[in-house]
Amino acid sequence: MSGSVEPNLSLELWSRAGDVVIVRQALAGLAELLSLDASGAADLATVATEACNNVVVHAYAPDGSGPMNVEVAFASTQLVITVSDLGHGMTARAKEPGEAGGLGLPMMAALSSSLEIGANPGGGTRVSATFEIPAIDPDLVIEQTLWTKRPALAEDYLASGGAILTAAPGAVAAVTLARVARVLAGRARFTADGLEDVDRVSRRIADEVASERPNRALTCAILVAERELELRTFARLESVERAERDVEVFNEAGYTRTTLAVR
Amino acid sequence: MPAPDEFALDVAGGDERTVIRVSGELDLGSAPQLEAAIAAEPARSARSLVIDLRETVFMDSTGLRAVLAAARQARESGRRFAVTHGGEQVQRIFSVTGADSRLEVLADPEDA
Repeated sequence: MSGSVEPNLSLELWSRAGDVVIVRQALAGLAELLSLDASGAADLATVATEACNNVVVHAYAPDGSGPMNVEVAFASTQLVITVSDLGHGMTARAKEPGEAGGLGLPMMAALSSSLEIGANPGGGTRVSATFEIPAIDPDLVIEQTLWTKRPALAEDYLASGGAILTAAPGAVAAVTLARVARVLAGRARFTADGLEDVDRVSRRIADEVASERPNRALTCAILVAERELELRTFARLESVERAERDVEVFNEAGYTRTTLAVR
Repeated sequence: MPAPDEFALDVAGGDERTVIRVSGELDLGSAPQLEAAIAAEPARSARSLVIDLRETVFMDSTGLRAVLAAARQARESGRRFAVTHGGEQVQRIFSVTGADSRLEVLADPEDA
Protein backbone atom coordinates (compact mmCIF):
# COMPACT_ATOMS: atom_id res chain seq x y z
CA MET A 1 0.00 0.00 0.00
CA SER A 2 1.48 3.34 -0.89
CA GLY A 3 1.25 6.35 1.38
CA SER A 4 -1.04 8.13 -1.08
CA VAL A 5 -3.96 5.74 -0.60
CA GLU A 6 -6.75 7.49 1.22
CA PRO A 7 -7.26 6.08 4.68
CA ASN A 8 -10.33 4.22 5.91
CA LEU A 9 -10.12 6.06 9.18
CA SER A 10 -8.67 9.37 10.22
CA LEU A 11 -8.67 10.67 13.80
CA GLU A 12 -7.71 14.29 14.37
CA LEU A 13 -6.78 14.55 18.03
CA TRP A 14 -4.61 16.52 20.45
CA SER A 15 -1.33 15.47 22.08
CA ARG A 16 -2.70 14.43 25.47
CA ALA A 17 -2.68 11.08 27.25
CA GLY A 18 -6.48 10.90 27.31
CA ASP A 19 -6.65 11.06 23.52
CA VAL A 20 -4.54 7.91 23.19
CA VAL A 21 -7.51 6.08 24.75
CA ILE A 22 -9.66 7.31 21.84
CA VAL A 23 -7.23 5.73 19.38
CA ARG A 24 -7.34 2.37 21.18
CA GLN A 25 -11.12 2.39 21.28
CA ALA A 26 -11.42 3.17 17.56
CA LEU A 27 -8.92 0.41 16.76
CA ALA A 28 -10.80 -2.08 18.95
CA GLY A 29 -13.94 -1.39 16.90
CA LEU A 30 -12.02 -1.78 13.68
CA ALA A 31 -10.35 -5.01 14.84
CA GLU A 32 -13.77 -6.47 15.62
CA LEU A 33 -15.12 -5.43 12.21
CA LEU A 34 -12.11 -6.97 10.46
CA SER A 35 -12.41 -10.18 12.56
CA LEU A 36 -8.87 -9.92 13.91
CA ASP A 37 -8.01 -12.38 16.67
CA ALA A 38 -7.16 -11.21 20.20
CA SER A 39 -3.41 -11.02 19.58
CA GLY A 40 -3.85 -9.17 16.26
CA ALA A 41 -6.13 -6.64 17.94
CA ALA A 42 -3.71 -6.31 20.87
CA ASP A 43 -0.78 -5.56 18.55
CA LEU A 44 -2.64 -2.77 16.74
CA ALA A 45 -3.52 -1.23 20.11
CA THR A 46 0.03 -1.53 21.46
CA VAL A 47 1.80 -0.13 18.40
CA ALA A 48 -0.64 2.76 17.95
CA THR A 49 -0.40 3.57 21.67
CA GLU A 50 3.40 3.68 21.63
CA ALA A 51 3.43 5.92 18.53
CA CYS A 52 0.88 8.25 20.13
CA ASN A 53 2.73 8.24 23.47
CA ASN A 54 5.78 9.54 21.61
CA VAL A 55 3.68 12.40 20.25
CA VAL A 56 2.27 13.21 23.70
CA VAL A 57 5.65 13.08 25.46
CA HIS A 58 8.18 14.19 22.84
CA ALA A 59 6.64 15.96 19.82
CA TYR A 60 6.04 19.36 21.35
CA ALA A 61 7.87 21.57 23.85
CA PRO A 62 7.62 20.26 27.45
CA ASP A 63 4.86 22.70 28.35
CA GLY A 64 3.38 22.75 24.86
CA SER A 65 0.92 20.62 22.95
CA GLY A 66 -0.40 20.29 19.44
CA PRO A 67 -2.22 18.14 16.90
CA MET A 68 -1.92 14.35 16.91
CA ASN A 69 -3.25 12.65 13.78
CA VAL A 70 -3.87 8.95 13.35
CA GLU A 71 -4.79 7.31 10.05
CA VAL A 72 -5.61 3.69 9.34
CA ALA A 73 -5.78 2.24 5.83
CA PHE A 74 -6.48 -1.38 4.94
CA ALA A 75 -6.60 -3.39 1.74
CA SER A 76 -6.69 -7.15 1.04
CA THR A 77 -4.33 -8.55 3.70
CA GLN A 78 -2.58 -5.45 5.02
CA LEU A 79 -3.37 -2.71 7.48
CA VAL A 80 -1.28 0.43 7.95
CA ILE A 81 -1.45 2.75 10.95
CA THR A 82 0.15 6.18 10.51
CA VAL A 83 0.62 8.55 13.44
CA SER A 84 1.84 12.07 12.75
CA ASP A 85 2.34 15.35 14.56
CA LEU A 86 3.34 18.92 13.72
CA GLY A 87 6.01 19.15 16.42
CA HIS A 88 9.73 19.84 16.29
CA GLY A 89 10.69 16.51 14.71
CA MET A 90 12.77 13.61 15.99
CA THR A 91 16.25 15.08 15.66
CA ALA A 92 15.62 18.17 17.75
CA ARG A 93 15.30 16.19 20.95
CA ALA A 94 18.51 15.31 22.77
CA LYS A 95 18.31 12.41 25.16
CA GLU A 96 18.22 13.42 28.80
CA PRO A 97 21.18 12.12 30.81
CA GLY A 98 20.19 8.91 32.54
CA GLU A 99 17.06 8.54 30.46
CA ALA A 100 16.15 4.91 29.95
CA GLY A 101 16.63 3.46 26.49
CA GLY A 102 13.12 3.52 25.09
CA LEU A 103 11.05 0.37 25.44
CA GLY A 104 8.42 1.68 23.05
CA LEU A 105 10.31 1.62 19.76
CA PRO A 106 11.55 -2.00 20.00
CA MET A 107 8.02 -3.03 20.99
CA MET A 108 6.58 -1.28 17.93
CA ALA A 109 9.14 -2.91 15.66
CA ALA A 110 8.57 -6.38 17.13
CA LEU A 111 4.78 -6.25 16.92
CA SER A 112 4.40 -4.87 13.37
CA SER A 113 5.63 -6.39 10.12
CA SER A 114 7.33 -3.16 9.13
CA LEU A 115 7.88 0.21 10.75
CA GLU A 116 8.85 3.49 9.09
CA ILE A 117 9.79 6.60 11.00
CA GLY A 118 10.49 9.85 9.23
CA ALA A 119 9.68 13.48 8.75
CA ASN A 120 6.04 14.41 8.30
CA PRO A 121 5.65 16.37 5.04
CA GLY A 122 3.72 19.07 6.93
CA GLY A 123 6.38 19.29 9.68
CA GLY A 124 6.95 17.10 12.71
CA THR A 125 7.30 13.33 12.70
CA ARG A 126 5.40 10.54 10.98
CA VAL A 127 5.42 6.89 12.05
CA SER A 128 3.87 4.21 9.84
CA ALA A 129 3.40 0.62 11.00
CA THR A 130 2.22 -2.13 8.66
CA PHE A 131 0.48 -5.31 9.84
CA GLU A 132 -0.40 -8.50 7.99
CA ILE A 133 -4.05 -9.33 8.61
CA PRO A 134 -6.47 -12.07 7.44
CA ALA A 135 -8.16 -11.34 4.09
CA ILE A 136 -10.71 -8.55 4.46
CA ASP A 137 -14.41 -9.01 3.71
CA PRO A 138 -14.71 -7.68 0.11
CA ASP A 139 -17.67 -5.51 1.16
CA LEU A 140 -15.32 -3.48 3.33
CA VAL A 141 -12.86 -2.77 0.54
CA ILE A 142 -13.66 0.44 -1.26
CA GLU A 143 -12.42 1.17 -4.76
CA GLN A 144 -12.45 4.89 -4.32
CA THR A 145 -13.66 7.09 -1.51
CA LEU A 146 -14.73 10.62 -2.17
CA TRP A 147 -12.88 12.11 0.77
CA THR A 148 -14.59 15.41 1.39
CA LYS A 149 -12.39 18.16 2.73
CA ARG A 150 -14.03 19.13 5.97
CA PRO A 151 -14.87 22.76 6.60
CA ALA A 152 -12.55 24.62 8.92
CA LEU A 153 -13.37 24.40 12.60
CA ALA A 154 -12.25 26.75 15.33
CA GLU A 155 -8.56 26.22 16.07
CA ASP A 156 -9.16 25.38 19.69
CA TYR A 157 -11.66 22.66 18.80
CA LEU A 158 -9.19 19.83 19.37
CA ALA A 159 -7.24 21.55 22.14
CA SER A 160 -10.41 21.99 24.19
CA GLY A 161 -11.28 18.30 24.18
CA GLY A 162 -12.89 17.63 20.82
CA ALA A 163 -12.03 15.00 18.24
CA ILE A 164 -12.67 14.79 14.51
CA LEU A 165 -13.26 11.43 12.92
CA THR A 166 -13.43 10.67 9.19
CA ALA A 167 -14.21 7.12 8.11
CA ALA A 168 -15.23 4.99 5.14
CA PRO A 169 -17.01 2.80 4.27
CA GLY A 170 -20.11 3.17 6.45
CA ALA A 171 -19.41 0.05 8.49
CA VAL A 172 -16.04 1.48 9.61
CA ALA A 173 -17.73 4.78 10.45
CA ALA A 174 -20.38 3.01 12.54
CA VAL A 175 -18.01 0.95 14.71
CA THR A 176 -15.44 3.68 15.21
CA LEU A 177 -17.69 6.73 15.69
CA ALA A 178 -19.72 4.99 18.40
CA ARG A 179 -16.59 4.04 20.37
CA VAL A 180 -14.91 7.44 20.02
CA ALA A 181 -18.11 9.24 21.01
CA ARG A 182 -18.41 7.01 24.09
CA VAL A 183 -14.92 7.98 25.31
CA LEU A 184 -15.75 11.66 24.97
CA ALA A 185 -19.15 11.17 26.60
CA GLY A 186 -17.38 9.41 29.48
CA ARG A 187 -15.29 12.57 29.95
CA ALA A 188 -18.54 14.53 30.16
CA ARG A 189 -19.68 12.12 32.90
CA PHE A 190 -22.53 10.45 31.03
CA THR A 191 -24.02 7.55 33.00
CA ALA A 192 -24.25 4.01 31.63
CA ASP A 193 -27.72 4.77 30.21
CA GLY A 194 -26.44 7.99 28.67
CA LEU A 195 -23.54 6.11 27.08
CA GLU A 196 -26.00 3.66 25.52
CA ASP A 197 -27.80 6.64 23.96
CA VAL A 198 -24.52 8.02 22.63
CA ASP A 199 -23.71 4.63 21.15
CA ARG A 200 -27.09 4.24 19.45
CA VAL A 201 -27.26 7.83 18.10
CA SER A 202 -23.70 7.64 16.74
CA ARG A 203 -24.48 4.42 14.88
CA ARG A 204 -27.66 5.95 13.51
CA ILE A 205 -25.77 8.99 12.23
CA ALA A 206 -23.12 6.80 10.60
CA ASP A 207 -25.82 4.61 9.02
CA GLU A 208 -27.78 7.57 7.69
CA VAL A 209 -24.74 9.25 6.17
CA ALA A 210 -23.60 5.92 4.67
CA SER A 211 -27.00 5.18 3.11
CA GLU A 212 -27.44 8.71 1.72
CA ARG A 213 -23.94 9.00 0.28
CA PRO A 214 -22.38 5.54 0.00
CA ASN A 215 -19.23 6.69 -1.76
CA ARG A 216 -18.37 9.41 0.64
CA ALA A 217 -16.52 9.21 3.89
CA LEU A 218 -18.34 10.30 7.03
CA THR A 219 -16.74 13.21 8.83
CA CYS A 220 -17.94 13.86 12.35
CA ALA A 221 -16.59 16.38 14.82
CA ILE A 222 -17.29 15.38 18.41
CA LEU A 223 -17.19 18.02 21.10
CA VAL A 224 -17.75 17.84 24.81
CA ALA A 225 -19.55 20.97 25.98
CA GLU A 226 -21.03 21.96 29.31
CA ARG A 227 -23.35 19.07 30.24
CA GLU A 228 -23.70 17.87 26.65
CA LEU A 229 -22.04 16.04 23.78
CA GLU A 230 -22.25 17.46 20.28
CA LEU A 231 -21.83 15.39 17.12
CA ARG A 232 -21.30 17.67 14.14
CA THR A 233 -21.63 16.15 10.68
CA PHE A 234 -21.15 17.88 7.38
CA ALA A 235 -24.30 16.43 5.84
CA ARG A 236 -27.98 16.94 6.58
CA LEU A 237 -29.54 14.37 8.88
CA GLU A 238 -33.24 13.61 8.59
CA SER A 239 -33.95 10.26 10.23
CA VAL A 240 -31.91 10.75 13.40
CA GLU A 241 -34.26 13.39 14.78
CA ARG A 242 -37.36 11.37 13.86
CA ALA A 243 -36.03 8.26 15.54
CA GLU A 244 -34.55 9.73 18.70
CA ARG A 245 -36.57 11.43 21.43
CA ASP A 246 -33.79 12.81 23.57
CA VAL A 247 -31.49 14.38 21.02
CA GLU A 248 -31.71 17.75 19.37
CA VAL A 249 -30.76 18.04 15.71
CA PHE A 250 -29.96 21.45 14.25
CA ASN A 251 -29.52 21.57 10.48
CA GLU A 252 -27.28 24.60 10.02
CA ALA A 253 -25.84 25.96 6.78
CA GLY A 254 -23.32 23.31 5.67
CA TYR A 255 -23.44 21.11 8.74
CA THR A 256 -25.71 19.43 11.26
CA ARG A 257 -25.34 19.53 15.03
CA THR A 258 -26.77 16.64 17.03
CA THR A 259 -26.65 17.22 20.77
CA LEU A 260 -27.19 14.82 23.65
CA ALA A 261 -27.58 16.15 27.17
CA VAL A 262 -25.65 14.41 29.96
CA ARG A 263 -27.72 11.77 31.70
CA MET B 1 -20.22 -0.38 37.79
CA PRO B 2 -16.96 0.96 36.31
CA ALA B 3 -16.16 0.12 32.70
CA PRO B 4 -13.60 -2.73 32.33
CA ASP B 5 -11.02 -0.32 30.90
CA GLU B 6 -11.40 2.14 33.77
CA PHE B 7 -8.21 2.35 35.78
CA ALA B 8 -8.23 1.48 39.47
CA LEU B 9 -5.53 0.62 42.03
CA ASP B 10 -6.00 -1.33 45.21
CA VAL B 11 -3.19 -1.84 47.71
CA ALA B 12 -3.65 -4.59 50.31
CA GLY B 13 -1.56 -6.87 52.51
CA GLY B 14 0.16 -7.48 55.78
CA ASP B 15 3.61 -8.55 57.01
CA GLU B 16 3.83 -11.40 54.52
CA ARG B 17 3.08 -9.60 51.27
CA THR B 18 1.80 -6.39 49.73
CA VAL B 19 -0.46 -6.88 46.73
CA ILE B 20 -1.03 -3.95 44.39
CA ARG B 21 -3.98 -4.83 42.18
CA VAL B 22 -4.11 -2.92 38.90
CA SER B 23 -7.46 -2.88 37.06
CA GLY B 24 -8.22 -1.40 33.65
CA GLU B 25 -5.66 0.26 31.38
CA LEU B 26 -2.14 0.85 32.72
CA ASP B 27 -0.93 3.54 30.33
CA LEU B 28 0.70 6.94 30.01
CA GLY B 29 -2.21 8.52 31.86
CA SER B 30 -2.45 6.03 34.73
CA ALA B 31 1.11 4.69 35.22
CA PRO B 32 2.10 7.65 37.47
CA GLN B 33 -0.50 6.44 39.99
CA LEU B 34 1.15 3.01 40.10
CA GLU B 35 4.57 4.66 40.46
CA ALA B 36 3.27 6.69 43.39
CA ALA B 37 1.81 3.59 45.06
CA ILE B 38 5.12 1.77 44.62
CA ALA B 39 7.08 4.74 45.97
CA ALA B 40 4.90 4.71 49.10
CA GLU B 41 5.11 0.92 49.45
CA PRO B 42 8.42 0.38 51.36
CA ALA B 43 6.75 1.88 54.42
CA ARG B 44 4.67 -1.30 54.57
CA SER B 45 7.86 -3.42 54.76
CA ALA B 46 6.16 -6.67 53.79
CA ARG B 47 8.47 -9.53 52.78
CA SER B 48 7.04 -9.74 49.23
CA LEU B 49 5.62 -7.29 46.74
CA VAL B 50 3.17 -8.57 44.13
CA ILE B 51 1.67 -6.53 41.33
CA ASP B 52 -1.57 -8.24 40.41
CA LEU B 53 -2.32 -7.73 36.71
CA ARG B 54 -5.18 -10.21 36.35
CA GLU B 55 -7.65 -7.36 35.79
CA THR B 56 -5.28 -5.26 33.68
CA VAL B 57 -6.74 -5.13 30.18
CA PHE B 58 -3.98 -3.05 28.59
CA MET B 59 -0.39 -2.11 29.46
CA ASP B 60 1.93 0.14 27.45
CA SER B 61 5.69 0.73 27.80
CA THR B 62 5.04 3.34 30.49
CA GLY B 63 3.20 0.76 32.54
CA LEU B 64 5.88 -1.85 31.95
CA ARG B 65 8.55 0.63 33.03
CA ALA B 66 6.66 1.19 36.31
CA VAL B 67 6.49 -2.58 36.89
CA LEU B 68 10.22 -3.02 36.16
CA ALA B 69 11.07 -0.12 38.49
CA ALA B 70 9.06 -1.81 41.24
CA ALA B 71 10.98 -5.05 40.64
CA ARG B 72 14.29 -3.22 40.95
CA GLN B 73 13.21 -1.44 44.12
CA ALA B 74 12.10 -4.71 45.72
CA ARG B 75 15.32 -6.48 44.73
CA GLU B 76 17.45 -3.67 46.12
CA SER B 77 15.68 -3.93 49.46
CA GLY B 78 16.11 -7.71 49.49
CA ARG B 79 12.44 -8.56 49.05
CA ARG B 80 10.67 -10.96 46.76
CA PHE B 81 8.88 -9.46 43.74
CA ALA B 82 6.33 -11.05 41.44
CA VAL B 83 3.55 -10.19 39.03
CA THR B 84 0.46 -12.19 38.18
CA HIS B 85 -0.60 -13.07 34.65
CA GLY B 86 -2.38 -10.29 32.77
CA GLY B 87 -4.63 -10.58 29.75
CA GLU B 88 -3.53 -11.38 26.18
CA GLN B 89 -2.10 -7.92 25.46
CA VAL B 90 -0.24 -7.71 28.77
CA GLN B 91 1.37 -11.14 28.27
CA ARG B 92 2.45 -10.17 24.75
CA ILE B 93 4.21 -7.08 26.11
CA PHE B 94 6.02 -9.18 28.72
CA SER B 95 7.08 -11.73 26.14
CA VAL B 96 8.11 -9.35 23.33
CA THR B 97 10.30 -7.32 25.71
CA GLY B 98 11.71 -10.39 27.45
CA ALA B 99 10.41 -9.07 30.77
CA ASP B 100 8.70 -12.41 31.46
CA SER B 101 12.10 -14.11 31.72
CA ARG B 102 13.33 -11.53 34.24
CA LEU B 103 10.24 -11.45 36.45
CA GLU B 104 8.58 -14.11 38.55
CA VAL B 105 5.12 -14.58 37.03
CA LEU B 106 2.47 -16.20 39.24
CA ALA B 107 -1.04 -17.42 38.55
CA ASP B 108 -2.30 -16.07 41.89
CA PRO B 109 -0.92 -13.41 44.28
CA GLU B 110 -1.42 -15.86 47.17
CA ASP B 111 1.38 -17.97 45.66
CA ALA B 112 3.98 -15.38 46.71
